[in-house]
Amino acid sequence: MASIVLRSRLLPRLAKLRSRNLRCFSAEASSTNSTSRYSGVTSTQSMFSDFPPPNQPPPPPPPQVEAAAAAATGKERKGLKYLGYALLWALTGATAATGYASFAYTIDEVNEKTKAFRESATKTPVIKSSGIDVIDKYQTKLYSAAMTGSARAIDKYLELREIVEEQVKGFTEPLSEKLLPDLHPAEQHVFTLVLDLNETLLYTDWKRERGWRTFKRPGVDAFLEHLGKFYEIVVYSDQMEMYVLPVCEKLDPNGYIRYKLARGATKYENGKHYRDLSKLNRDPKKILFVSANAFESTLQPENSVPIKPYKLEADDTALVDLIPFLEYVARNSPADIRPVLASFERKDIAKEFIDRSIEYQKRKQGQLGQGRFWRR
Amino acid sequence: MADPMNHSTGHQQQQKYRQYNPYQQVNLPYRKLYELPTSPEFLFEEEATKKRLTWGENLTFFTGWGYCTGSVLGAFKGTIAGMRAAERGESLKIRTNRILNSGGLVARRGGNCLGSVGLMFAAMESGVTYMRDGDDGSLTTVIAGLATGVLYRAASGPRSAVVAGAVGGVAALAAVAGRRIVKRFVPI
Repeated sequence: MASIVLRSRLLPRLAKLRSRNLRCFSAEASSTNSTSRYSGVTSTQSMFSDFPPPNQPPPPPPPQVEAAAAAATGKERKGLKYLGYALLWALTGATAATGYASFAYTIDEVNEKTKAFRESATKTPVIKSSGIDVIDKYQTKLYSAAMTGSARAIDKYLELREIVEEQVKGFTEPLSEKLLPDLHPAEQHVFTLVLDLNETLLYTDWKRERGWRTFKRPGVDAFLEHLGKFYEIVVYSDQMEMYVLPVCEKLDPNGYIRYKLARGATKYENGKHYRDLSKLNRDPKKILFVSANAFESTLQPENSVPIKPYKLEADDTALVDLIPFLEYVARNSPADIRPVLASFERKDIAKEFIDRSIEYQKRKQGQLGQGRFWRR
Repeated sequence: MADPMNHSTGHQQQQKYRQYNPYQQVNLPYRKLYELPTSPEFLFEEEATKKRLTWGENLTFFTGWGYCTGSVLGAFKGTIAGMRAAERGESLKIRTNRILNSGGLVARRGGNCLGSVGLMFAAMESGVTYMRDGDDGSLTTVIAGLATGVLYRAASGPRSAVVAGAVGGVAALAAVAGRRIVKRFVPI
């Protein structure tokens, strides 16, 4: 470009030189025509003065060249900046899409939705060697590379997510499919009584002056002693194990409680620890779960026996009131305990049981016929 | 070892029971009477014997609260002083800088002062309680306050120590009286 500019500038100078030569020739002709010698010398001097001095250096290069170069460099810089911005926004969009997919869809749904895309990406498009257009070939290769890269990225994401979800499952699921050992053959008819700890068998409170204090519910010793004869008693708490074990040792010095399950045996779901009675390795028809929050703290509410929460009332008798019902269940062994519990319609089972017993005795004394005890 | 056992034994003897029949009117053949306690029953005996904070808890409680209270009051006082020292024609940056410097300095001094006082008082109260065989009443608090004042000003000379002791005793007495008034009128 610079050479072109220089060449274009030299042309006007050559034209000027030609015009000066023509003038010199005409001057000589006029001097020949004159007869005096003086006038010839004067014309020679004037001819020399018309030429520019030979020692003068050539002019510096014009600033337009520098301006053009600077403009070109600026354009390149702006292009790079825009490319960087585009990459940054693309990365942000990809991150947002990945986060949304992780939150909104399960791993199987993501796998199914992206299956078609990944299969199409694996098919290598046939590049036509006979294509005359080079740009078309380049575009095809670029498109193929983008598709392959995206498919590989999705595969990596699915692998990573599977690994992470396996790790999380180790914390949220119960620590075994069988939380209790197999039932002894001689005890196949025995019911399993699952008990909660806080607000059911005991109550804990904290004050700044005294710290933690744990109180036994009135009648808990008699409850465990009496029902230990008829039931397989299991404590299933959502507290930590280092809390459950010392408490059970103090609560039950005679060993009526056979098994103690803590938080590691619960199922963590939606920010709450649930008891999964289906993993107790026992017949679900013979499981009773006694708790102050029976229906909202288990995955099988049909096996729940609700009891009033104990909050340090001095005249609390709910635990001892429950003994007649549980004793009756153990002695009469219904085939399936779940419809029996459903017949109480989430009321106070102890009171309802006493009322039904009184009514039953009245009917029996009145010789009105022996109907079924359970309202079914 | 003997004292806690005696105490727990006494506590167990104090536990009263009443007879209760869960079967009520039902004439079932296997009914039974149960004994129920008339007051809440402790699961762990050591929790029943605990009636106050341990000396370590007391130490951390008083020291922490003293330091925090001193820092807050000192910061407030320093901020007020910094605002009052402002001169006409000063820029906002200079005024802000003076307020922050003054507040920070007085806060540190106040926090350290009250923190050390709290530390000494907690140690004194625990010591006096121990020497008076577990009695943690009002007299113990007053004696501890007196001793704290004396100790705090011991390095300044005997006359200053006596005056500080008197101030400490009066302050402790005021605190005890204030506590009783609060307990009487505020339902806790």
